[in-house]
Amino acid sequence: MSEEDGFKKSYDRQYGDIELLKRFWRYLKVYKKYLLFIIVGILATAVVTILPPSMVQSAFEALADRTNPFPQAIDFMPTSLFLWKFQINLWRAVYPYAIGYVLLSLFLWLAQVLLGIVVTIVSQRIIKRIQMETYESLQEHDLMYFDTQSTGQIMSRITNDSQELNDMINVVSQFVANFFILFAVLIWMFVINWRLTFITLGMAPFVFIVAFFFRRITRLTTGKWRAAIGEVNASFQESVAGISVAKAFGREKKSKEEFEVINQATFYHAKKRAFAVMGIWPLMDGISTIGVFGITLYGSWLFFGSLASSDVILLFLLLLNRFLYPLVRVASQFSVIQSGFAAMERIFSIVDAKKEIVNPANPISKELQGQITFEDVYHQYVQGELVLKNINLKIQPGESIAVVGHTGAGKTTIASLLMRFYDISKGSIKIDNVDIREYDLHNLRSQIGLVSQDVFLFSGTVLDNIRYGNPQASLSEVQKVIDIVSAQEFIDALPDGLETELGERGKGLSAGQRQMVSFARTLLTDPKILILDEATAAVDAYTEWKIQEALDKLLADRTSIVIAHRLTTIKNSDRIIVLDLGEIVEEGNHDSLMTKKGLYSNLYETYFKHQSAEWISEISDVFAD
Amino acid sequence: MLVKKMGYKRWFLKHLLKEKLLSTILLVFLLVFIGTVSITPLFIGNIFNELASESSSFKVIMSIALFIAGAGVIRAVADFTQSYANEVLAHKITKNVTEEFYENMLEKSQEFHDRIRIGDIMARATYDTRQMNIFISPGIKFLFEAFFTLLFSVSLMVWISPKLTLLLVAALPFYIIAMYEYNKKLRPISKAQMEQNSLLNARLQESVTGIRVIRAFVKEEKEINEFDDETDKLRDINTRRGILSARYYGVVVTVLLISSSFLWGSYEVINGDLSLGYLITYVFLMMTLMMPTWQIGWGITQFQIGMAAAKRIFEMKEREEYVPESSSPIEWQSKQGTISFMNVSFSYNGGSSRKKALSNINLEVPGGSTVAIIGNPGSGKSTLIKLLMRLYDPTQGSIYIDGVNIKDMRLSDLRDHIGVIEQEVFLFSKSIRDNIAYGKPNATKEEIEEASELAQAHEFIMSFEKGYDTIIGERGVTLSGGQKQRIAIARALLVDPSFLILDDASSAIDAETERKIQTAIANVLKNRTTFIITHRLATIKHADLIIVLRNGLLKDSGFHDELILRNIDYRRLFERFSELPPMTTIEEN
Repeated sequence: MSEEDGFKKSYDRQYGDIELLKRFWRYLKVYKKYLLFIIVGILATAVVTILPPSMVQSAFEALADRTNPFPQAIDFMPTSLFLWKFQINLWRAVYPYAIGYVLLSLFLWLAQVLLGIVVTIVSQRIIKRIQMETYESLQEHDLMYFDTQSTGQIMSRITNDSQELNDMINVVSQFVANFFILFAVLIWMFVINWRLTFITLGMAPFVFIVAFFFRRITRLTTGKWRAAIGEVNASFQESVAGISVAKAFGREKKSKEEFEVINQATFYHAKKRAFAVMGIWPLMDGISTIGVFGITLYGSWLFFGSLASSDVILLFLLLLNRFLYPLVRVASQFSVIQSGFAAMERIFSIVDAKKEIVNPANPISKELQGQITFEDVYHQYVQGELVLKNINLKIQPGESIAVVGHTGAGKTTIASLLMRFYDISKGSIKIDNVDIREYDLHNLRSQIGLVSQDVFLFSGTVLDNIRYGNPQASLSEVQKVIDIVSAQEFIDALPDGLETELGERGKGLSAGQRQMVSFARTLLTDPKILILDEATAAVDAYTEWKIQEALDKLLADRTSIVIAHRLTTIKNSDRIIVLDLGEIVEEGNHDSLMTKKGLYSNLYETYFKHQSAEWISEISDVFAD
Repeated sequence: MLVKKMGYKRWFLKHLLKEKLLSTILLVFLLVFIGTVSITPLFIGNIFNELASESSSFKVIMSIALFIAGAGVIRAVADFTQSYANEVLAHKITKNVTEEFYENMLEKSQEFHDRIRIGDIMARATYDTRQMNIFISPGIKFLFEAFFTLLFSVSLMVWISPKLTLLLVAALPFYIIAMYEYNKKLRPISKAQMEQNSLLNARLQESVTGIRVIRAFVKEEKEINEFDDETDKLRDINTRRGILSARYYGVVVTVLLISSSFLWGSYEVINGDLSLGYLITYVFLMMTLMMPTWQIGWGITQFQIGMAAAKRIFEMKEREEYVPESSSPIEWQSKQGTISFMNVSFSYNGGSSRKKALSNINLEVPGGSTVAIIGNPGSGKSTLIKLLMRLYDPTQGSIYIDGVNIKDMRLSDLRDHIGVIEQEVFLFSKSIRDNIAYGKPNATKEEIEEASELAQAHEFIMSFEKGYDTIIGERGVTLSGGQKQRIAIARALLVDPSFLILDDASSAIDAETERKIQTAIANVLKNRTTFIITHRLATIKHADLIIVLRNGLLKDSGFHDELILRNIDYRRLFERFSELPPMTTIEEN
């Protein structure tokens, strides 16, 4: 288990915060205009934020001043039924502030709405870009990457983590706004009363210590929680994918128990995380209360010493929240930013995962003739486990080669290497005397058709699937390949014929049918080199025989490599290559190899003979009661 | 149908109410929290009243300040307790729902799984549960907080100045209308958002699992373009939602409310109807109302999303597509193991499929015999097996084991007694040992190795560095097809079942191994009924009964010697290899 984990992690990387920021800036800087708007908006908001409290303060000051002198002579206000003269005067002193307060509040609201809209637009665009980049890089990753990473984990990174990143972007804009507000408020406070400012400032260290502490715990626990969720998802995913096995073995109950354990672990980590995430706000709130306590107490003390007026105390109480609130936010938003960073790290790990199979600097693109040469080829998937050893092989254009050998002899690996799904560990593979690593990858792969034993069809119609590699193919071309693979009969039997919708992975077709569709799909691309890796293993013998007959014509001017366990296929090929434990041990045609009495004749006895009539009677003893 | 079906709302509520302790803690501490939040402005107002009065003393002010501090401490503790309880509640429910959903997915019929994309299921298991989680915490907390803050603060405000509060009440309808509008506009966007998310998930899933095909056909660009379109759609939906939320942010009504109450409040003070200190209390109380307006907006948004998510989970869960368990199952007591199919017909997609996968199959298989099923791809071979395992139920007719309808048996009994070696071997990303012991988790090391020996798998397993502890890569990528099959055979043999189904499992195994395996199977399965779908002619030839299927019809059945003379489909299998005697009957098609 641990080694497996270690292997998986080798694609993940640690990133420094600065590195992540720089990286993130690359996405941000595209939206400079928007950013400018956001920053200006934030600055304006910051300045305006401090004004409403002073409106209240001024009004309060006027209201508290009962010694206000009697009015001046001219008075445009109606001598109202309700107000005495001195009250009118007082009202005049107060109402500009009250109206100012209304207008400022409206402005703030408007600014926030606009900022919200712009930030949404920018963040959504960035997320989309990051998702695309991740996806594009996935399309370029080595197959080894997919062999070692679980589908659930990859998916979680593109969907969940990009969501996390989105949250972060929204938070960052607030973060910046709060930061500005913080400074504006601080300066304003100093201007009004420096003594009380120190009380307010006294709260700051506590806020920061708590924030720092919680930031660390949050990051730690969030990471563990996310990992646990990843496991739940992976387990869920696998259970659904393997549902028929679970059913066949009546394992539902056991699966449930196993799932419950993983699920419980997630819950445990979620609780731990909740403690950190939920702890920060109340603590900050408590600190803020200490601030209120301090200001009222010390303010009153100053009041009695005539060092502060009551309206200044009010102003500080109003400003306290406008100071502490952004501070708390700034501090707590660290955790969101931290999980955003963690998400970024995971996403960038996908983008940056080392790609070994890439286009060369000067890729060669040309039409292949089909001459294939293996020179001293060695290959290993895992360090120290050679799958192919010292393979030397020359295949002429148009030649048909059969590769035979025991299971695990390395037959499929030859196909994968020729497609450059993996790069060989040593030696070289050449097509038309050019190393395949020098070809343009797309150019190379598009001219090699691979029909593999592991069939993967896409959801969509049967026709879509057959046309997958050649969407422009006409219906008559499609018909041609359908006839070659003898698929007409079963397609006719499908509810909507060629237009029948298939489920995920081609659900709705049997294994044999899927193989026929997969075969047709490859033939439609008209490849110069054709690799058939047990291409018809699931097809019944009679259909296979028909396919074989049709193929003979088709293969005449193509190079083909046939990995097969069927006698007819092998006998029809120009040359037979016998692989054993990753090495070529014999080469030749059927008859010459049979007379050699080596591994092939041995294989023939064990592998292929039982497809002949004689063997059928021979094996009777096994079934004899 | 008199029994009213539970809706998703009730289902959600049921989950919520199940956690009584957490819910109670949440509610109690939430009330304490809101109480202290609302009371603090009153203290502050009193301080200013005290400062303004001629007989003000520092001592009185200090005692009030101590009240403020005390309320603050209680507030912080209460806030933490309720927030934590809320978060734990949310995760607990998420856990329960995920588990329920998981179990439910396992119980669903094979047909369900054949039709529903894994990505679709996973979107519900991951994204939707997360959305529900967020609605519960902090969504529910927010809504409750908002409600009680409004209640407490407004009550205090009425007490301080009923006239001023009239203003608030007058503004309420506008506020409600705004929220209603918001709601109405939000709903379709939320729905679209989730659907698009689900779609994206499914696409992603497919392109990750099908990566080899994409590579082989050089279709990276096509996949990228399609993904680009899908993410574009998602981005647009998300943006629309964000803009909508921003537009209704804090609702302008609230801002106007606070500021105009300040305006009017000043007037009241001048008029002598209100003390200055209580005006301050009033303004501070108004400020406590800022948060609820935001919370309500957010809470309602998340309510929409959360409930839509709950609905999606619930709806998938509620699809009654599992194979129903008999309410009064008959105890398993098979002796002979005779299997009979009586007038069995079946079509996929709940019988709505145009074509019948099997029609009118009548078949009697004596216990202990080996049955070979042959036919073209799509002729119904696999379907026949699936019906026997009750992965599906026949659309018409019944299947009996020793005279007992398999529908009347316990599903677990039935499947416990049928061993399967599947056509497409699915191995779990666990160790080889765990995979072999899958059907019998408590198997001893010896038993596992014995089964592997019988399946001719022991040797190659031991050739791995870690032997039986080798972890199999996802979907078994690191094993060859033949190796996977042999592990599957070991897996089936370990269970030692009364019936065995071999679905084309031997196609990639060499004859020598196959001979050994078949010897083993022949030994192990003496007096057991075996169904074999295979292309191996030798195996077919020596079966006790051969049945020939074509297009879902049982064309013929009998021994090799009979069929070779009369069945064209059967003859085709052997024609290529040997001279056959001439046919005795002409088959009508």
